[in-house]
Amino acid sequence: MKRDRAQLVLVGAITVAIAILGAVILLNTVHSSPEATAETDTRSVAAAEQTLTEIEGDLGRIAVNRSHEGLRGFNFASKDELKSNVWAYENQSLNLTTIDSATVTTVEFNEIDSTGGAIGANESVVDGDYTGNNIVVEDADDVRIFLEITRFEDQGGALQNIVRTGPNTGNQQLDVRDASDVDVEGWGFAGCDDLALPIEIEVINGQGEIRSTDTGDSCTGDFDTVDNWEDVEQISVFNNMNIDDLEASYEIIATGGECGDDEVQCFDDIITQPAFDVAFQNPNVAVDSQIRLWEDES
Amino acid sequence: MNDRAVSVAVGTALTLAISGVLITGLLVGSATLLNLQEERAANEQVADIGSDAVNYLHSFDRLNATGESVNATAAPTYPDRIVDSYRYNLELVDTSSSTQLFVRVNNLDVERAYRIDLDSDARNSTVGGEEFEVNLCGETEELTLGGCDQ
Repeated sequence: MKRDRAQLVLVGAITVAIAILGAVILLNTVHSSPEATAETDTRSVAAAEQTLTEIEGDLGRIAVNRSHEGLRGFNFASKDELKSNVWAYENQSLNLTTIDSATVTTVEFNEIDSTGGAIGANESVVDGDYTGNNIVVEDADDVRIFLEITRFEDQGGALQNIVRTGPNTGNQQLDVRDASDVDVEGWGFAGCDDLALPIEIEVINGQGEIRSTDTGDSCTGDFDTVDNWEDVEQISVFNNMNIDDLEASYEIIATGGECGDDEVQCFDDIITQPAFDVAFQNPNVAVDSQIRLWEDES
Repeated sequence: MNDRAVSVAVGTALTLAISGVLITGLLVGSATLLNLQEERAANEQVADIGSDAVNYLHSFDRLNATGESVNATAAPTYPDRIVDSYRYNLELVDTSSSTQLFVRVNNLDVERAYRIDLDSDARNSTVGGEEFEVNLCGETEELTLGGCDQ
């Protein structure tokens, strides 16, 4: 009998041991389930974000035109220069950044989605007898003007006119009479008296500011609230008087426009809003994007 | 002597009965504990996956501001099943006031919700864990789960 009881106790003990073993195995199964491999992947997106931001900054620097000295008022790009610069950037800088990493980055200038235009400028109009109406740009979608008058004395009458011809509004002109009484005829400016020379006049799509370069004093206004300078037919620089002791320069950039027929300094076939196709790929993230520069200035 | 023989049988029966009760109790207790452990482990994994997915959505939201028509796809390697047993899904819900991400485990009472502040629009979408991917669809500038064609 003692032998039989011992066998029963043994069977019971084995049963209990198997039950405990089973429970332990099941619990361990729960604990050993795979973890989410998340951290590395999120870093990949952060790398893409950082790379694209850096590329946008780099493109902003390499795209600015360098070949036309004196044209500094506005950002624009020369098409041929842009193509070669972007090619060099992709082949040198980007290849360096992707060494020893499983990352591919490409940048291409997208000529089709870029916006072209024209830029006209006269670096210095000095002491001359300027007559006539010199058409700088035509058929623009929008226009930005930068005019700087560095020195003049006296004279009365219109010293420097910028004339805009619109499809519905006819001619409208910016008329700066003298340094102590800056007046913009019919364009809604007020409070611009007593600005010290030199003065700068900046007009972007009809919204503008006249300010003194030295003191920073300014007066702002709305040049034309009717159509905000959309679809400008012509922008002319019109000098109609004998001018003594005047130094002035202007720069007119037109998106979607082209140079006028008159023989004023003007460059067609420029890029006012370049577009680039950018692609970034690593094992976890694929991004393709289009970066456009200088859109806010239009 | 006959009484002793009976007592041996009773003793054996009692031993078996007590052993049975103990083993049953152990199994029942283990099962309950196992369920609790499963839910705890599932909650941890769902929290990991959910917070990671929210990170992706935030990153893509920022990425959307770096250019125009930004297309982006990320396919993180999450486990196909939670605690190796249960399928799960992620749902992106966009309402007028906020965007929310839900992570739900099928057949297990586990769900987590994340409220997300996004500058980009989000498209209502649901995707299973085994085919999870986050997308930024450049054409519509929307964030979505499981592909832009959905």
